[in-house]
Amino acid sequence: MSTLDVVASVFLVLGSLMSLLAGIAVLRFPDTMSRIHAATKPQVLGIILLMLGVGLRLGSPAVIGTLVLIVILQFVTAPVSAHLTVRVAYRNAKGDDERITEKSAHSAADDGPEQMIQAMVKENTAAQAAVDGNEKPDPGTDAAR
Amino acid sequence: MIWTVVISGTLFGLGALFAAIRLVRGPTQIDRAVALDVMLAIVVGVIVLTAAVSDSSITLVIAVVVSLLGFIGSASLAKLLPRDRQ
Repeated sequence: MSTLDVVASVFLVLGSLMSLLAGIAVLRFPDTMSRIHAATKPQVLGIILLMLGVGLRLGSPAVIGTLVLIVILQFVTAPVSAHLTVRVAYRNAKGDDERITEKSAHSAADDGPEQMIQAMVKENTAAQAAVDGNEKPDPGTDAAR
Repeated sequence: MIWTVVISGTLFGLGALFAAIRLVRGPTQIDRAVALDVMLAIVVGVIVLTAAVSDSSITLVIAVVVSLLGFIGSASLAKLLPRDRQ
C-alpha cells in the first residue's frame, strides 16, 4: 500500500469515527435539543473527511466533481434541516401554539450581559431547589423504625 | 485496505445501532426524526466507503441521491409532524 492509500485509509476511519460519535450522542444525551445539536454537527465533518479519503483513492476529475457536489449539498442542506427540526422541538418544549413573534421569542440574552447572567443564576437556583425538593429523606435505621 | 473496511464498517455499524436504539426508545417523534437523519448520514458514509474500496466512481452518484433524500425526509418530517400537546 502506497502512502496515498495509507492517508486515504486514515481519513476514511476518521470519517466513520464521526458517525460513531453522532450515534453515541443521539443515544446518550438527555434532551431532544442536545441530541439534535450533537447529531448534526459531526455529520458534515464526517462527510468532508470521507470525501477526502475517497478523493485520494480515486483521483479522476469526474470523481472530484461529484465529491465537491456532495459536500456543497451537505453544507447547504444540513443547517436548514437542523433548523427546521430544532424549531419543532423548541415549540413542543415551550408548549404554545402561537406564531413565534419577536415578543414571544425574546430571551434574556437580548437585553445585555448582566440580564443574561441574572437569568442564568435564577435558573440555576430554581433547578437546585427542584433537585433539593425531590430528594427523598434518608430511610431510617433499625433503631429509628 | 481490508483493515480499513473492517474498522470503518464496525464504527458505522455501531453508530447505526445506537441510532436505531434511539429510534425505538425516543420519547418524542422529533427524537426519531433525528435518529433517522443520523442513520441516513451513515448510509451515505457506507456508500462512500464502498466506492473508495472497490475503486468504482459510479457508486458515488448513489451517495448524492441518498443525501438529497435524507434532507427532504428530515424537512418533511419537521413540517408535517403533529404538535405534541402536553
